[in-house]
Amino acid sequence: MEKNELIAKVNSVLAEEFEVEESIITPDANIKQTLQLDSLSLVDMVALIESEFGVKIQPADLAKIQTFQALYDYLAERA
Amino acid sequence: MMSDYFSILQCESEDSLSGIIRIQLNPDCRVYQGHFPKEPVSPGVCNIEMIRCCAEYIHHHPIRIQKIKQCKLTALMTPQITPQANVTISLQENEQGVYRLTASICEGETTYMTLKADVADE
Amino acid sequence: MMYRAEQLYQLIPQRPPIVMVDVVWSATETEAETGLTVTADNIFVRNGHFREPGLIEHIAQSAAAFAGCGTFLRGEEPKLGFIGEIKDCVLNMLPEVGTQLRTHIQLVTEVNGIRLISAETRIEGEMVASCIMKIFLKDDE
Repeated sequence: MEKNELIAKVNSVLAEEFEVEESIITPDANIKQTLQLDSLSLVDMVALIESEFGVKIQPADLAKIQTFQALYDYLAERA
Repeated sequence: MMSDYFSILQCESEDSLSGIIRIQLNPDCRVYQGHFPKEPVSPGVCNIEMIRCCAEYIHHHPIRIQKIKQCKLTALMTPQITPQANVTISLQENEQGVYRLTASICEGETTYMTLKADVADE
Repeated sequence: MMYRAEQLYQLIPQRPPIVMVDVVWSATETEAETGLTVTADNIFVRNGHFREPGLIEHIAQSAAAFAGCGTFLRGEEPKLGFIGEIKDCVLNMLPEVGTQLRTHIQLVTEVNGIRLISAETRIEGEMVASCIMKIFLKDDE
């Protein structure tokens, strides 16, 4: 998958699942704040990424993935 | 079944579809002997049942839960720390005898549970 | 490995009168098969039928027993578990006293001590209930 395509897909699946406007998802924005994730919905995000992209985010990596850019990079290396 | 889990102290309801019920948890209910032996915590499913009972009380008709769209248990409840709470009930009729139930259990600033379910007259 | 009746107390922290699983047929790292025979003295039975909270608690404790198989094999006590969220839960019927529920639990993912599981409960192959559940496992202090 091209990176632009990947970014577009990440944005659209997250916007749909967490019911936010896609326009508020920007590379430098904080994921948890933007999507208003609590500890429970963070689990949904991990499961969604796994089912959509076939990438299992490792617990140690999850803490490091704070922004959407970090998530795109993580997936681009693995998807 | 679980008849001594809680009691209704007060009910404010203007129709058979919505209202707020003040409940009191019973610390002597035997469910706490097993949940858990050294640490009494109100079981989430008992709180779902409490909401269903409160909805029946307001609705004046037995109801059964068909689907739970989402139920979030956002704080642990215990009869010691939370002896009383407010159960807010709203029923919206989707089709004859089938309702969308939206409910919550709150006390003070804390929300313990939110529930969205489809229920039907039994 | 199969666990029955009071052997299950090594897997789950719940005790009577709220024990809602009586057999673990099998368990792997990612899935488990559990069961419960509904008895007349079950606290969630009313008018001969196993009611909604009983079905949901059976699924939650099936997930607890599944997690407990792992801790038991490591020689640890079962952890206290709490339901965090229930989603897309369909309750097709309220089983009669005497029937045996058979539940398949699948671990979807685990994040920061919260396990996301999907569950299907059947009686003789017929779907009784299904749901997605998140369970917090409490670490001992």
